[in-house]
Amino acid sequence: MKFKTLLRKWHTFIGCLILVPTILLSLTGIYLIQNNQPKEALIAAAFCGDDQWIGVSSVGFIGNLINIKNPPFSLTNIAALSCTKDFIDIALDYGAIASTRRDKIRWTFIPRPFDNKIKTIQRDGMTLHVSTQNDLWTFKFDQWKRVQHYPPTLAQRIYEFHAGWHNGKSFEYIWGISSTLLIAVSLSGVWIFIRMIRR
Amino acid sequence: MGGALYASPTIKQYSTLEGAFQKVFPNTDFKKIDITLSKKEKNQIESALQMALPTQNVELYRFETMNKPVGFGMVTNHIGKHYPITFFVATNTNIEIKDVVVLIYREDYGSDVRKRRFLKQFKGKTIDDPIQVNYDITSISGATLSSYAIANGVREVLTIIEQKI
Repeated sequence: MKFKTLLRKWHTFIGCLILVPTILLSLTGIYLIQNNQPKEALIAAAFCGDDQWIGVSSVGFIGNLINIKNPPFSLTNIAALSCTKDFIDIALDYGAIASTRRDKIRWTFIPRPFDNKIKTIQRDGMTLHVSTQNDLWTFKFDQWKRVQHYPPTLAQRIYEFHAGWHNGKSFEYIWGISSTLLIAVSLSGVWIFIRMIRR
Repeated sequence: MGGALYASPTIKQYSTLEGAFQKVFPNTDFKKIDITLSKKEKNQIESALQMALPTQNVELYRFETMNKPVGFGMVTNHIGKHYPITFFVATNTNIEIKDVVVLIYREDYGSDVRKRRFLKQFKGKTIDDPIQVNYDITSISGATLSSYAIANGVREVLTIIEQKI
């Protein structure tokens, strides 16, 4: 088989292989662009109930209760926070909850058994109440309990799928491989086209 | 991202403890040192780290060649996203980081923190360095929480070894 024929066959084969993932990715991308929400400057804030408040902006901690130096977590990964007279609780995007007493900053991380992004976090004594896009949870005595569940919307499912996730498992590598092959097939297509018009 | 309840962890063992010892301190003997921190010591370490230690009991390792110490090490666990990452942190006798080896990674995503290009950033760090992501440590894209976990663990081990050795 001639090199040119081989190249054309390869081009067609890879083109067919990546067709479905590319179309899916494009469609979900268009959907997301149309439904995109801007990231706010104030990421999260809470009043502590004693004339003090704490907030996190895109530049760091703000408010009149800023005795937190070098927290052991990413400030840009904060989803929600709660402040009471005794505790500060910070929910990280898709991660654990960082918790500390106010009088002695000693962060501990509370793992959580769910993956959704936390919207609100509230402390009532030793109980944490957490809401996500789809669930309400409570955490007490080292135990998580789901109080209520709402099924994900179509937009949520499409967003997850576009980001390369399904049922909490990542398949992002398929998007990565498809993108790489798409670039390769585009370049070979351009080469074939140039050779064709030169003839 | 996304899904509802996540499944049980995907446990990936990248190195055994003995393998990590051999990699960082080849051809040496080691002694395990069990230490119980006093409440005061625990408080001092926690104050320095601004993090709570899970226990007062720590296990250190002292590495020797012909009865001469060549370094120290400790295994620590820090939560990445949902599950703890288990890793070995080694220092030389000047309490400078000699190496970090990820032993067990339990998340589906972000295991790139085990790679050299991330871990080599810790080499030579001492207790006087910030060892903070976005200061002197660059996080791995897509593994921010795990990057913080490793940095927190390295700082913890340095603080404990500095305090107890």
